[in-house]
Amino acid sequence: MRAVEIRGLHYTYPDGTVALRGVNLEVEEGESVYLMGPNGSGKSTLLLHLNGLLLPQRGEVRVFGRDTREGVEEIRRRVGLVFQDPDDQLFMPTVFEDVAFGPLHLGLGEREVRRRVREALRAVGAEGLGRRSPHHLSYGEKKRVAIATILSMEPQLLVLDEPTLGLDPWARREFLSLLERLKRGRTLVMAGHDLELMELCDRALLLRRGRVEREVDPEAWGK
Amino acid sequence: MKHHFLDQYSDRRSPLHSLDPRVKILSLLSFVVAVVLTPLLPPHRLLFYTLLLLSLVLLSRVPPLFLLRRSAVVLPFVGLLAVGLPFLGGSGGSYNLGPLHVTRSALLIFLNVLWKAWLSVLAMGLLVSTTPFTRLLRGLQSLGLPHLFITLLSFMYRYLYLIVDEFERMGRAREARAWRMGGLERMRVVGNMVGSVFLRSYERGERIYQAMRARGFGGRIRVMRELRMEGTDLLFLSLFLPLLLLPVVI
Ligand SMILES: Nc1ncnc2c1ncn2[C@@H]1O[C@H](COP(=O)(O)OP(=O)(O)O)[C@@H](O)[C@H]1O
Ligand SMILES: [Mg+2]
Repeated sequence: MRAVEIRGLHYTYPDGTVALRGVNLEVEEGESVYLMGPNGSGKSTLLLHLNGLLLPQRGEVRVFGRDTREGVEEIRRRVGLVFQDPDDQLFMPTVFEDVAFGPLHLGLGEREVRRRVREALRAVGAEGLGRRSPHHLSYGEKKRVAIATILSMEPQLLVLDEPTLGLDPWARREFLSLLERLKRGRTLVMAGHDLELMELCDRALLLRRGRVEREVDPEAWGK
Repeated sequence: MKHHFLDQYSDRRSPLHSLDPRVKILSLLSFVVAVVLTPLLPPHRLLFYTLLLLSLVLLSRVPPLFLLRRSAVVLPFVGLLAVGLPFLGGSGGSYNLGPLHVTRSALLIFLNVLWKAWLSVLAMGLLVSTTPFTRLLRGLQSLGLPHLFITLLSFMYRYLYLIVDEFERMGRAREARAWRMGGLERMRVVGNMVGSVFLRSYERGERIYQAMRARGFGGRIRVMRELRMEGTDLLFLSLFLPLLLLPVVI
């Protein structure tokens, strides 16, 4: 089964901004795909369609075979979306509560929630931050914890919007190796314009003005 | 940036810090009730409560000066009260303060309110400085405060700092470009800043709502019950509450 299947997707924001004009995209299970494109090309808008936060106005979006217009609950269980700005992603008063938010709302029991929080924090190297408040974290720590809040839901498809944007070179380096680890055994869709990050991925697509312009070779770009 | 408006020092370690928040909230409430119900005269009872509170302050390892300064928030209200004093009648002797006469009973009322208000505010400050805000909310919640109210407070706590940061950044940007601005001009600019911070907060609100829905939120926030009463909590309560009653019998 394909993880993602998008056909002829159009989306216009209420204020009249046309963000997507006929996107086609397929992602196989276990694959990592990088969406490359300048600011305003529609990357974030596209990602929001992957777990039904936005529904297609024209065309269709299928995730693990299901049309997002036919109910999003199951899809949100299986797709984890990490937003670009960690201050949007981290809305609970402590890191622990934030990482626990997803599992609790999946209806899991307390023991299981605790186990998942522990593992998610360990996976991103943020053990020991559990009791801190997000506003006392550095930007890089916030970004890592933001990923943990999604990992704790154990999604089958992991979607990351601009994961390395705004990080200093040192934090970015750590982040690249974190993402390389995360990609093993997972289906991964990322967006941004980080060439090194693109090289980690199996495939890369160039998005421009709301369309997939072409597929690019992640290894050969810029060489 | 790091701000601490609410719960500075709350992440230290002390016997008071490690108490269950519910125990502290209940102790605070009983303390305030006891203080308010105690007559001013003879003064040894209020003095007892004062010493009790001050010894808790020492126990908490929060700098006493910090707490005292913070408890000064009662002063404006006290000032307001003082303005009204000469107009209070009452019996007993009276004192001349310049052209004004203040009766003895009016002065006693003033002292009464001042002392009790100060004790209550100081006790509240002690609670807030020994309990991280999130634990305080947990405590309030498990003592039965409405869910919606708790949710509201926790979002406020999370985003207050962000809004303040945004405002400060804009303020600096303004100062960098226009440090010599007339009063009227400055007011206009501040007005714009408030508007734009509001707009940004509104947009952020929408993005946060999306982030919540993406993680399975459907209208009701679920949280874990993570408070556990321990032996020391019960011990504290069983010492503190009888102490509060002590002045009644002596
Ligand atoms: N909430 C919104 N309301 C109106 N227009 C928007 C909104 N979000 C994004 N846009 C517009 O949609 C287009 C695509 O934006 P976006 O998907 O954020 O692109 P990217 O993530 O590639 O930078 C841009 O022109 C942007 O200004
Ligand atoms: Mg974007």
